Amino acid sequence: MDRIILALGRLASWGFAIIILMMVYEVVARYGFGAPTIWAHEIAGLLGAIAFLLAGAYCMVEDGHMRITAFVDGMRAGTQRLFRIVGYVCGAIYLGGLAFSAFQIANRAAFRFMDDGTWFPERSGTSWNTPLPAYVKVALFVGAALFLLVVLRALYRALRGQDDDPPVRLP
Amino acid sequence: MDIATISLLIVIAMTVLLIMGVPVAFVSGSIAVVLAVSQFGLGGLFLISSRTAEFVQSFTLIAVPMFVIMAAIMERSGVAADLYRAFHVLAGGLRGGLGVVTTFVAVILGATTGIIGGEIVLLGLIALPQMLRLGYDKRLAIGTITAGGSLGTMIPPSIILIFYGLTAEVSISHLFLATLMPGLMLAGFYIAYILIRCGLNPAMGPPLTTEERDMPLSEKLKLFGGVALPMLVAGGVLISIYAGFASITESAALGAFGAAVAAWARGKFSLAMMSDVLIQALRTCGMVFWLVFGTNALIGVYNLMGGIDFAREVLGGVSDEPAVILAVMIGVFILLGFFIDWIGILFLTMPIFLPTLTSLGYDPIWFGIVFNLSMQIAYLTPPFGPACFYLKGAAPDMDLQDIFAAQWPFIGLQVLGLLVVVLWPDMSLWLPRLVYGGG
Repeated sequence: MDRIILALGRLASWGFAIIILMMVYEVVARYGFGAPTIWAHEIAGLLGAIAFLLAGAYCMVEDGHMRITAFVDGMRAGTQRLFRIVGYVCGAIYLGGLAFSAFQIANRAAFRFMDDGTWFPERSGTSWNTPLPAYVKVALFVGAALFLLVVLRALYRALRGQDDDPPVRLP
Repeated sequence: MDIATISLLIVIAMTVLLIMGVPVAFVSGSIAVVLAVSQFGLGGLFLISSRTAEFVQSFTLIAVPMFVIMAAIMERSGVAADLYRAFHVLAGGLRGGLGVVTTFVAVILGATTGIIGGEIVLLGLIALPQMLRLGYDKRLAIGTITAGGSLGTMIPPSIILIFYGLTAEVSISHLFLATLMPGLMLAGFYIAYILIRCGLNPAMGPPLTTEERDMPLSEKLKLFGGVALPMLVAGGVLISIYAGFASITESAALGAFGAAVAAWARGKFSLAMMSDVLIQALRTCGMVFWLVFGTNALIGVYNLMGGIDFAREVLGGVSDEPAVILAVMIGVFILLGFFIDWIGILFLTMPIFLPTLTSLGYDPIWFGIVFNLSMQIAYLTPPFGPACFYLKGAAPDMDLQDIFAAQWPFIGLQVLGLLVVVLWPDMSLWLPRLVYGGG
């Protein structure tokens, strides 16, 4: 699972590169040719949102989320393990709640159909009018759910008394 | 339970969980979920996800990874080392000259980056060994690097001000201009402090010998030529933001592109490097944004419960004197700064502080700069001064006690700078007024 998440993160990070190129193109098109695009900002917004949302699970796999360790460092190993479990439970509560409600709003935004059965997702309401808000909500659910999975697995391991794997890091 | 009890419970729960080492992103998020479900039932969770979905769609947020990418590319293309070399031949002859050069380079690097961390690590790797080799006073050298490196968020672009601008709904380019003079003033304080200390006691910061400064002119020109392009890129980004040529996000993306081109011109560009840089940006986003998601959710739920109004009443009841309320706010920033980082402080306090502040007639732009200055202090103050830990990371042999002890004179200078801006708001506000006109 770690590998999948790291690979997804890497893929999403290339979204930033695409955003850079799109923004350069947009500015050149606007000033050079007086023809601003209608798509650059919307696609950039979507790519950015997806990357931000996946980044949570990515940092969790790498054990990169900020925590205050100064007090805990001096404590006994058993206490430290207990506190780690508390941390995972907090994470599970938060992400569980987030994923649960994100599923609902994603469902409502993405799976809307007209009376005649044609797909009618929530749209951005700009001149291009893409179903972007619907995609972002789906991404929110996927990002929160993946993050939740990583936390739950860490919790399961900590409860069984297995030491955490050393965090996986890409070279 | 009334809102006062709940507020107290929130504060206690946050403190306990933070001390237990629970990831900060989970602390506020889990409290938000528990509150939402207990107060509003499962439907209350809707607030949390919709706030998060709305937040990630803010286009300005994309400026954050763009600035990270720009700074990371500059970092990897060795601009900092060349800058340092270029300047140290110029000022190395002074007593304390290397300290001055370090501060100078810190300011210039600050204009290429909006976060601290990378800058402190870089200076710790490049400047610290040089100063120690010359026999600089250890604490003076350490303090110069942590304080100077922290200027990264005072000198525009600044990630702190981007988030502040989004929260306070004020112009980020105004903020970027308003922070410039106070940032340079702080740098001036550091330089003056170094020069005075070393002037009084030359043993604290001996000059470079003439042989070491001796460098053929052609080599000097080459050095300055090498750093010229990256500096142009950094300057261009700021001008593009100030002049309204392109939005913050677009300017940041252009800067990232320019940095990549500059790196390529220096022969340092590769796909592997780019891939590393992108992942680094993703990591930063994961850490910072998820922390914001949780805090943002907590504030949303708390607000719906009437908590914000309650907190505002408490704050307003402190005193009839606006200046006292202002002092309390700054006190809260500095106090919280000892324990949590700026983004937590910003999202926890601003929804409560900002409305009170504007109703008292203070300028929100100026208040952003006051916040920014308070965070400079927060970076350095033990036990959680992030700047200290970044330096420790770059120089592992340094004793943490030494690093902490080195901060106090510089914290004193920062408090002085904060006082100047608080007592004399025009210090920061005249520049935006000059450029954009109006009040």
